[in-house]
Formats: sequence, structure tokens, C-alpha cells
Amino acid sequence: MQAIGAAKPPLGVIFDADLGNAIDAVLAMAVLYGLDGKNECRVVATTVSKHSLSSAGMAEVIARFYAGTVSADFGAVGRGLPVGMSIANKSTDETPLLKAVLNRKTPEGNPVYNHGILQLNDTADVHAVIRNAYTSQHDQNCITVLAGPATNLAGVLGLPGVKDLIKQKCKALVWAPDRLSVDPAAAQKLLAEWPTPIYIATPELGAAVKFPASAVETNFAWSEVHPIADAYRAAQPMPYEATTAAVAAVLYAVKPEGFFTLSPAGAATLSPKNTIVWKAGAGQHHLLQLDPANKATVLETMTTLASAKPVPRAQRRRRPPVVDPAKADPAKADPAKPDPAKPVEPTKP
Amino acid sequence: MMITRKALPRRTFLRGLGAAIAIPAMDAMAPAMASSQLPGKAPVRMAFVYVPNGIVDHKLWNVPEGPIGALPRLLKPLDGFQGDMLHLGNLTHNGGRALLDGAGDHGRCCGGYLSGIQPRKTAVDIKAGISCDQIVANKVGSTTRFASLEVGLEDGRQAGDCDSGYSCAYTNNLSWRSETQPMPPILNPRALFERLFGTGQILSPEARERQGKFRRSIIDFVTEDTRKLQSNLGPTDRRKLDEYLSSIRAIEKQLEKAENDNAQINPGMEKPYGIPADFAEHFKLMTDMITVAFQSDMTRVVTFLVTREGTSRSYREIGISDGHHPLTHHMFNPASIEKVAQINTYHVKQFAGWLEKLKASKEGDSNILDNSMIVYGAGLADGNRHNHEDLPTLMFGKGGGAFKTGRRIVYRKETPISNMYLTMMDRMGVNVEHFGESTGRLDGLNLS
Repeated sequence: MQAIGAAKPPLGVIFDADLGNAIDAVLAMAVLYGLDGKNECRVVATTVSKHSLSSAGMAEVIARFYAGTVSADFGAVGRGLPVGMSIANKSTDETPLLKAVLNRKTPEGNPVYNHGILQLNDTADVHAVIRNAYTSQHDQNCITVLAGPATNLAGVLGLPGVKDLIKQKCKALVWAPDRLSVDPAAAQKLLAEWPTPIYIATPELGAAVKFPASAVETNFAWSEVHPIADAYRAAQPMPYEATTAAVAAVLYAVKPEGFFTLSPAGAATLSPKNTIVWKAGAGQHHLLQLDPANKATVLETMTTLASAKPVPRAQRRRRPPVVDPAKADPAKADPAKPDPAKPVEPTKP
Repeated sequence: MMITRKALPRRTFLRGLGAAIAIPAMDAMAPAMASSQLPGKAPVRMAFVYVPNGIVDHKLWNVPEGPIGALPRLLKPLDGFQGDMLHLGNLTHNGGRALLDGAGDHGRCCGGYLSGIQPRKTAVDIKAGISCDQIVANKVGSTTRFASLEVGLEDGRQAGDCDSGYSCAYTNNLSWRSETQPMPPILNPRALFERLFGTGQILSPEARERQGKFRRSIIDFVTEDTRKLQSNLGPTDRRKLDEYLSSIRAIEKQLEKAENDNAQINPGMEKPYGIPADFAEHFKLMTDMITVAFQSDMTRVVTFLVTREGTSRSYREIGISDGHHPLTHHMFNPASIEKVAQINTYHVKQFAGWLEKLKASKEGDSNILDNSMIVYGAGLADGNRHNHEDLPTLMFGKGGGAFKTGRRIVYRKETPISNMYLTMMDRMGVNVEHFGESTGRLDGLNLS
């Protein structure tokens, strides 16, 4: 049942990625939060599809960078969300981009980018996170974006009643398939059983619009420290241009008009080489396509959104009255302890 | 439009050979245009003790992960039971959250606590889910005199709106036989006594045998009439009639069981008179009787709704005249926070008294507590914030030697509390693949 009279909020986005392997997914998350900041969507769940605390930590760093720790303390909607992490696809490797962000220290030796994921139970049960996110959405007011292997979404499909729930709540799945050899069975299950249309952002589409290194040095320069810029610089030897299939998936999910077109309906399957093969015909799978005339607009939109400044959100709860004697008397207050009600600026190295 | 179908008379009976059964109110009675265990081993028991309005502050409740040492303030009365305890963190009941249904956290959190679902927001046509205790009771209850016992300490309505559009059935019941059938708790110690031990009149074995000869299910006498009536009912009414007849049969079975049981139970206590005014005395009386019921294997499944969810009961016994619920919305007022902490600790203290008895009740080399899984928990985490993640959850007892107790285990965030129910059901010999919001079973509880 949905509350009568309550207006629908912006589209809810569930974002699942194998964060840390390629800069594409990191940029996609930045674009997602850029759109969230413009109130064009709400990030309602972020999950990572590999068993890696660093990957989950990266997701939280990005979320905190755009949302700040203040909202997390106050439990605001869409902020301070627990990061769901797969316990399959165990990965001990810390990729250069993860290391660049998570290991960056201030001159005093403190982490530049804080996050709260130090052990397994700092992450969340990924299937519960995704399923619970669906349960809290208005009908057809949610979309799922997947970048990378399908491990988590295939797992969610195994929960009872979830297919009907997804069909009820979720408009579509937008998928930038990558590294499917990690879990081909999950990809097959997803393609066979996912109950909504699937829009596929192929690697070819991602290669058609490349994110320029120059944008990292210019558009992100408003902040002395920026996790997306740090990750970009570390992912490959600079300068390079990054493919953008995952970014395209996010952009299409939230803004389906004006950037990409769709192929006719068809059916996608997994080839023996673990790539997606699509055939026109019966089915509800479509490929995202780029009109060359739109390329410049797409690129401009991607760079603008990825480098958008965080938008402060109103606190959803009143600040509690001071009850701590140390806080009542500023002389006794611990200067090292941050005031949870005060907006936090990104740390400077 | 002309309505020709006649409404079913309110006073309809199912009749048979010398038997007549009144039937419950049904839609069809409304005017036509009205709105629509292992042999040789001690049995394993499970019990859920539910406290309302969450707890005041997790800092006063939580202990560090790993072996449990010193207890925080709210758990101080449990000193000495560290080794019997599993202190579980991060268990979540998503169905307690609003999920677009607006206010009503108290109704939702209690109504769906043991079923792991979100109850329908309504004050009329209630719908929750079968609770895990009843799934177990259905499976193992036939081996005991009572399939399950539902007890509580606070009187409350079973109908009407008790929380922002949620029926009182949700806030005032913990156990649900089906989606639409709550199991109201027995509140009066005398009623519980009489249910467990009869009126106190001890019949000779011969007298009981004589009674048994005349016993046959009343439902058997009205079969023909039931079939006729069912053919005239809609699906909702048919389900309602089935449930009603099932509950009559369940009562008959309980009576048969009581009568067939050769060993009459000596409760070892005086028959209580009415409901004690004192909370602690009331708590003690009820738990004394549950202990006897466990000792004599009268039941293996108990739910105990300490007080109604969202209750505004005051606790003058400990000098608190404000209502519990208003106090929990303390607006960070230190005096209110202190009072809620006292109420939380007071509840834990009564509970600790019961654990002492269970631990003192020997069963071979073990004791009842070791052979049980006694959960002490709440459907709200922080009573002020009304959140449904990291629910206060303690489990006592080794479940018959299966669990390694004495530890705090913090699960991954959003781990459904239904996963705990699945694990407990396994231990009770009831294996189901999924339950409520489950995504699996709880890891790390077992000895092996």
C-alpha cells in the first residue's frame, strides 16, 4: 500500500558495480551522484559485486564525498546507506585506483577520504540491501543500474517473491556488462529471468564516447582533493581517455530522452566467450545506441555531471539540544571530535 | 438494481446428530449492499520475550564483539549469565519500516516481528503472516499438551486503531496462527494456571478414562451441514470458516491430550487469584508457570509479550509515573532518557529472574536453559528514532547443546532477523527453505 497523497519522489536508482576494476564504474557513480544532487534521481542502494572491502570502501568514500558524513549521522534518506557487498567473487587485489584513493594520507598521516568499512560486518548483506531498496519504492519509480558481473542481481532473483517485486517497482535494468567471465552463470540467469526490460550499454558504445583526461584536470579542479580525479589519474598512465559504458548506463537510466536511442526489441544471450550477443526479435532486451550527432552533448553532460559539486541537503532531523557537558562548555570540547551537526568539508592533504 | 440473494443469518449454526456449532461473523451475514526432537534427549524449547518501545541507547546495551565480559548498564541484571548469552548485532526487520505506508512503526514492528513481513495497514481487515513460533508449533506441537503458549502482562484491545491506522491486533499480539488469526496472549495468571493445570480438581485415572469414552470431535457431527454452508460462501468466508473449525479442532486436541495424559502435573504452587498489581510479581507468576510448562513438557513453544508495543504504561513500582512510550520520545532530555533506561533495566531484571529458574531446573546433566533458545528482543531498535535495523536481540541457552554461547556476534548490516528464525526453526526440527525476509541462516552460532 502506498500512502495516499504522498507525491512520488524522484526516480530511485539501485547501483551495483564491481567497483575498482575500471574507472568507468567510478565515473558512473560520480554521474549518478551528480544527477542525485540535481534532484533528478535518488540513490537508494549502492552495492559492489566483488568480495573486497576496498571496493566497498570506495563506494562509501564516493557516497560520503557527495553527501558528507552529516547526513549519514542523521539517517537521511538516500544518505548513509549501508554498502552491500557480495561474498562471492573474492578479490584480494587492490587495484591502483582503489589504492590511490583509499591509501591517500594527509601530511599528518590521516586518511584523506574517510570511510567506515574496515571489516566484513561494516558492509551489508547485499541481497537484503537490494531487495529492501525495492520494497521502499513507489511502483515503477525505480531503476536498476548494473556495471560489471551480474552476481548480486542473480542472487537477488533467488529470493522468494522478488521477481514480482522487481516487476512491480522497477522500470528497467540498464546494464553495462563487463568481466562476465567472473560469473557467467549469473549473467545467464539475469538474461533469462530478469522480469523487466534490459537496456544494454555495450563496450562498443562505451568506446564511442571517451571521457577525456583533460576534464579531470579542469572540471574537477574546484576541489583540492577529489576521489574521482585521484582514481582517474591512478587507473591508467595519464593522459588517457576512458571508455564510458557504465556512465552511459547511468545517464540513460535517469535521462532516457535526448542522449541515446534504443535498438528494436530482441534477446540477448551469453556467448561461449562470455560476451553478450544480441539478436532482434522476440524479447525485452534492447541495445543502447548513440546518434553521432549527439556525441558532443553526451560527452559534455557526462563531464559536467561527473564533476558536479556536492549539493548540501537539509537535515531531516532537528539538531538535538546540547546534553553533553563538554559540548555545553566549548572550553571542554574535544577539538579533534567533529561536530555531527556541522557540514564537513573534504579534507585537505 | 434488485438484490435477490439473502444474507446469511447472524445466528447460523452447523447442526448434526445432537451437536450444534455457532459460526463466527462472516461477510455473508452482512446485508447484501453493505460495504464490502531426538528420543532419549531433553526436548529443545524456544521462547520469544518481547519488550516494547525499543531501547533507549545502544551504547547502554552493546558489548564488544567476541567473548562477553562486563555488561553495560541496561544488561547489568544479567550479570552471571554472560556464558549463556548470544548478543546479536545488526539484525533487521525491513517490514517494520514505513515502505511507503507512513507512520505506524509500533504497529508494524510488533505485528510482523515473528513473521518477518510488513503487516497490512488497516484497523479492520487485518493481515500479517504466520509467525515462526506457530510454524514450529504446527510441526512439534502434537507431541505436547499445548502446541504453544502465548502470554503477556498488559491488557489491550484486539480491535480498533492502536497506531496511526494499524489495528490493535498488531500491537497487542506477538504470535499469529495465520495471516489473519492472531493468538491473543493470556494475561491473567489464574487463566494461565487453569489452562495449564485445569481447575485444580484432580480426577482419578478411572474417572478420566470414563470421560474419554464419550469424546469424539464435534466437527464430525456437523460435516454434512458444513459442506452445504461452504457451497454458499465466498472464498473469504470459506477461509474464515475453515480457520474457525480448525481452531475448534485444535482446542479439542488439546483437551484430548490433557485427558489422555496419565501423569497429571503438580504445579507446585498455589492457584493465583487475578492479576497482581505489581509488575514484577505478575512477571514472576507467569514465568513460573512457563517454567513448569517447560519442565513437564506441556509445551515447547512460548511467546511472551511483556507489554503491548507502543504502551504508555507507567512504572510506579520504580518511581516512574510517566508513560513508557512518551518517555521514549525524550527529545534528548536527560531526565527522560534516565527514566527509559530504568524501565529497560527493570524489564531485563525481571527476565533475569526467569533465567535463574530455568538454569536451576536440572535435566540430567544439563538444565532447561541449556536446552532452550530464549530470545529477548524488541521490534524497534531505538525507541526515539523508531528505526528497525540493529534490533536489540539476545538469545539465551544452547538450544540443546548446539550453540556456542557467551559471545557477541555482529552480523552484516541489514541481515534479516528472519535468518535467526530460520536457524531456530532448524534447531526445533522444522526445516524450511525461506521464511519472512530471510536471505539465509545465521552463521557462527553453532559449536561446530
